[in-house]
Amino acid sequence: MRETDTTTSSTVVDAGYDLTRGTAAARAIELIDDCAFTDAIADLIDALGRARWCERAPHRDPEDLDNLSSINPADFAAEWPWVEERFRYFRERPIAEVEAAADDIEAALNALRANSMSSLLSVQSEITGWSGKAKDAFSIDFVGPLAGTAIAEQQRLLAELQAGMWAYDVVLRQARLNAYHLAVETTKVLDSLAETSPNDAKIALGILAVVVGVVTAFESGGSALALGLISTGISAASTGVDAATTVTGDTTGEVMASLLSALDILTDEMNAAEQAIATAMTATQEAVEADLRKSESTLLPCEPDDSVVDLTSGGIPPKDHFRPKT
Amino acid sequence: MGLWRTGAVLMPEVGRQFALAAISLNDAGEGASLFQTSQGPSPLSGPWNLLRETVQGRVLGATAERCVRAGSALTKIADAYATTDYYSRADLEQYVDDKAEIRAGGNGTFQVPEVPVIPT
Repeated sequence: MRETDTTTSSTVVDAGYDLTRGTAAARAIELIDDCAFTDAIADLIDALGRARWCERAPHRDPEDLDNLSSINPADFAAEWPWVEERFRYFRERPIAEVEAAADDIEAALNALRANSMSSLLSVQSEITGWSGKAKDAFSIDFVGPLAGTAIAEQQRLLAELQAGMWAYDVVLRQARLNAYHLAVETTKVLDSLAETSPNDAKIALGILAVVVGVVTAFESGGSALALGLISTGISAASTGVDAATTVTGDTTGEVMASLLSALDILTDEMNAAEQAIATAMTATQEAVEADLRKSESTLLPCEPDDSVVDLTSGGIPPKDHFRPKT
Repeated sequence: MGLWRTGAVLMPEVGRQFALAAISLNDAGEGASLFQTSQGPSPLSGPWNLLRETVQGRVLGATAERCVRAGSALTKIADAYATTDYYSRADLEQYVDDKAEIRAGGNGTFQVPEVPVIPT
């Protein structure tokens, strides 16, 4: 049996954990919708086709294409069939579903809020009129820790899962935004190839650093468990550098090679950010497993004393172990 | 009647909150496409879902079950005392009859939703 009788608590302890700041930081990242993203890729392919058409005969002006209805600029982009597929990777996952999942976790959190647990206080009050070893074990090892610490720790664990979902949301939003900028800026570079000094475009591709920033906006949690995201945070060692690259070239081939390199960097950044969150979730999993193995689990109160019938297993104790106070 | 009410109403009510939390968490994992990409699942898929399932089943679901079992035990203890001199059987039966909301469950106990089972 636990040494401390915590049944005297007159409240159910609420973690009071609030993800508002972190959630707002995630939502502050501009969300490029599917329509805008698709248009940007279509514009890129169009600019690529025009630039390639001009390249084949140096006297051509890209604007002449507008008067040649029999020519589809996209046909001249066929040498780079990977463009649509490589960009699709950054917009194919459903951000709305990810945010709906975060909302479901909020509903789980609300079910455990102290104001939803008034019945537990009534339990504490009702059993004060009873005595005996089984009653004491039930009070001290189960009801007391449940109200005093376990519910708050379970809330923090739910907040950790929710933080993981918001961090993932940041990855998806930022990857989509970076890919969109990459498409728009590459289009401008391709459009400028016919000029005497074509443009370059320096584009930020960092994702992991943005995720780290949002995770920092989550409260530290104050958990007894080392929660990978809200207690520990993503370590600075894993944040890498704020990736950026320049899309450049004097020919369509050079520009597209430069774009391909940028897409590789962006893919690596996205994977690194997801891996960092995954590592944090794994750390939390290990902390939870370690806690559940303990005889006095913080998350899951139980009645470990074998000399007393365990009510939480449905056992019925002898009458003298659970009797009215005289 | 306090112990009987604690077992038949209060503990299941507490258990119900944990069960509802577990059900909401199950809903959060229902979106099969959350982590799916054209190049396979995200590296986050396994760790996040494993943690979600652990919290859903082994923490929230287990807590709900313990509350329900304890409630059942307390009801039986109260029932046993109703056959002795602590309070009369007739008083207890009258009290239970008066609790229409308890009988609404159909079997004389407060209903706790089933926690979704995690496939193993």
